[in-house]
Amino acid sequence: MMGHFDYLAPKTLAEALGALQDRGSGAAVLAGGTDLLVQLKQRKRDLSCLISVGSLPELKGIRKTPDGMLSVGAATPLGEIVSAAGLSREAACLAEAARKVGSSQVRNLATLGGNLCNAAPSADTAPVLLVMEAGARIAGPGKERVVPLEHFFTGPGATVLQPGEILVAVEIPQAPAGFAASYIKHSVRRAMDIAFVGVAALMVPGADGAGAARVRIGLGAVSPTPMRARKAEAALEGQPFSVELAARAGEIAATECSPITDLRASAEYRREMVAVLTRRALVAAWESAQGGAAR
Amino acid sequence: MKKPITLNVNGESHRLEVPVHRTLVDVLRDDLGLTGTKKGCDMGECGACTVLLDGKAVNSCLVLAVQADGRQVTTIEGLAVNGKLDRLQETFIEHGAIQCGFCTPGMILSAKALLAENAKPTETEVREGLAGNLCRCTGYVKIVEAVLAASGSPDQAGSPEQKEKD
Ligand SMILES: Cc1cc2nc3c(=O)[nH]c(=O)nc-3n(C[C@H](O)[C@H](O)[C@H](O)COP(=O)(O)OP(=O)(O)OC[C@H]3O[C@@H](n4cnc5c(N)ncnc54)[C@H](O)[C@@H]3O)c2cc1C
Ligand code: FES
Ligand code: FES
Repeated sequence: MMGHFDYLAPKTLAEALGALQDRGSGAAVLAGGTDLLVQLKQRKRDLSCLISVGSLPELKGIRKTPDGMLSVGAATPLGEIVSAAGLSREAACLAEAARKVGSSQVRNLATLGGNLCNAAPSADTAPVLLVMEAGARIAGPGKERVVPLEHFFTGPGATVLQPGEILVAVEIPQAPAGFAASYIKHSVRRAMDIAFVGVAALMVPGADGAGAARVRIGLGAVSPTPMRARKAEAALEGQPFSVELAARAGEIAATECSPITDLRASAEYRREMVAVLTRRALVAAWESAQGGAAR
Repeated sequence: MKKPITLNVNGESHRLEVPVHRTLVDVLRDDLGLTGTKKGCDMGECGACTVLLDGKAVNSCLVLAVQADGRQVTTIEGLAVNGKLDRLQETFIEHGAIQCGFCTPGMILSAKALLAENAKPTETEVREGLAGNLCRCTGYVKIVEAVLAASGSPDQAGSPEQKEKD
């Protein structure tokens, strides 16, 4: 059973922002509810008002903008993102991560915005969005701003969102030609389980074809926020690619993260797995980029 | 706080006044007496409470009844048409895919949504589609067989809402 709260279902973003302002600190945005309702049932949160954003037109849907950007409404369910994989290569990368969240029933409710705003270090959509250098479009009273996703998370469960602000959309810029990305989620059960390590890798092959001109690595569940492993990226860029080099980058990534020990895994094990999974994610992205070039 | 809502359940429209913190599973079971929908964990983990909301499988313990206002809900009670069981209900019986039966309504509705999107799933796709439904009795093998047996049959194509209108 949940405590008592008011429920508002505004029809427009402006109305939602007004309600959030009026209701003050006891109010929260309700999207799919798969995190928030569970937290209310477990009495981890106590709220006086839920403001539903599930049917705000400004927060719905996936579209390509004229400049090649993919804009995904914050209230778009993950199930819809999985189905939209064919829209672009960027959409396919996001879909690959989205399909690893929970069950089909959860994905039909859970939204992309909820996954990011809940800000679990293990949020499955975060690492791929980090490597695609996505931006978070945020609306507040009277203004909008775009924050690079890398600066969006500030700690476990914490983001740059100020009181009264709503995440409107996630904007994914067109990735460089020839890029390929991969996401590896490591959990006890294959389905319906929170990642204890998540690794995304993105590679752009260089002109000579021997190595990657650009490399980006995103890590989940191994630091207070999802993070980029920039030293590991630098070790690969411009070098001829090999499995040995990918393994070395994995070891560097393992030193960059700061995992904790919890119910799911120990810090030591997580660090080991970062090394192994980073190597695998890099090799997978590299092979997929080669396949893409040949096609 | 209470709110007036209209729930369209299995093709029938209900006007209700519900406390806003009440979940859909509780309203279905306690207010409408549709106890075919089960409540196990109440946390989105077990899938016993699965219903179709606008044709998509969801955990009804993670939906507030007010969020379902004006939308189409299909519960296990809505699958049989004029007393004739849905093909999935028949194959579950034929294959012995039911023991205690607690997971069955949720399993069948997840399978229903899966087959509406993918008429001929592979065994892996069936297992993935049912990953959010736990069964403590059967070991899943017979359930997967039952879903595969129902797949490809003509009455599984299209959404249940579509069928109700026919
Ligand atoms: C059984 C189960 C399995 C799960 N498995 C996974 C998994 O494998 N991987 C994973 O990453 N997660 C998993 N989750 C967690 C959850 O489903 C996801 O994090 C989901 O994406 C949350 O989205 P939501 O729309 O349900 O968010 P909600 O619960 O509605 O909201 C979450 C938080 O974000 C805030 N919020 C939501 N939208 C906005 C917005 N637009 N602007 C500002 N604030 C906003 C809310 O106020 C709340 O604090 C699981 C949950 C369950 C119940
Ligand atoms: S009761 Fe809803 S998932 Fe278990
Ligand atoms: S038949 Fe008993 S839980 Fe599945």
